[in-house]
Amino acid sequence: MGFRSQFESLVAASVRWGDRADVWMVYGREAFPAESRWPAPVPDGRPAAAPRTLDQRLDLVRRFAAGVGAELPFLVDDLGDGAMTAYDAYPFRLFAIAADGTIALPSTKGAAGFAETLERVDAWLEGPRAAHPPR
Amino acid sequence: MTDRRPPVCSIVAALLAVLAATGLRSQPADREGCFADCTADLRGSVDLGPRQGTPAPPFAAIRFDPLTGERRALELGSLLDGRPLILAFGSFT
Repeated sequence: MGFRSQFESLVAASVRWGDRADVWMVYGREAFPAESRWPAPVPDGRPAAAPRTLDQRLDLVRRFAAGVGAELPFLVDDLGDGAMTAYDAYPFRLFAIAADGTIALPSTKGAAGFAETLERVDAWLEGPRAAHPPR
Repeated sequence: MTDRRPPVCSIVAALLAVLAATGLRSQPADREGCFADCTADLRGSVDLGPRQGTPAPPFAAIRFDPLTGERRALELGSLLDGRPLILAFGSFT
């Protein structure tokens, strides 16, 4: 179960959170590219070779967005996966950042942590302290 | 005379123990495959990401709109506009 399975719940959550928070997907290193032992296709059915250039990486974003009907803009990590590394976020991970720029809710890595943290973000944004890390 | 050299299997076992102890087994390159296994593996891996209450690490990225093709370089700081920010890291496969 990869990130794709989480994408719909992320989009639904971003609609739910509305104007209370900004939501971005940060696209980085492919978990199951065509060259891996267990290649997985993007929604257009074609396998995704691990991008070697920024243009290839952007092309995969285009294919994915077209395949799932996503209309939101994406953040695309550099080819060295600088953002993903800084957040130790491979293969996928969710972070809620408070308005003061501090980490409020870091998920654990992988599917279970992602889904659980989506629910925790719901509760956090409902509360009055979303501007600060929860105590 | 008695041969005091350790058996080959002992040497291999010792090497494997060292590799496991140094964390090489849980490097990302080894995590491709079944996600159930990966998730179990990830639970045991060291978390090098930012902790709760610490400043969000800065990073640079490209803001890309797949509908229009517009792309723009930006940094984390430009996303922090006084509202909570949710970052979902992932890939498409």
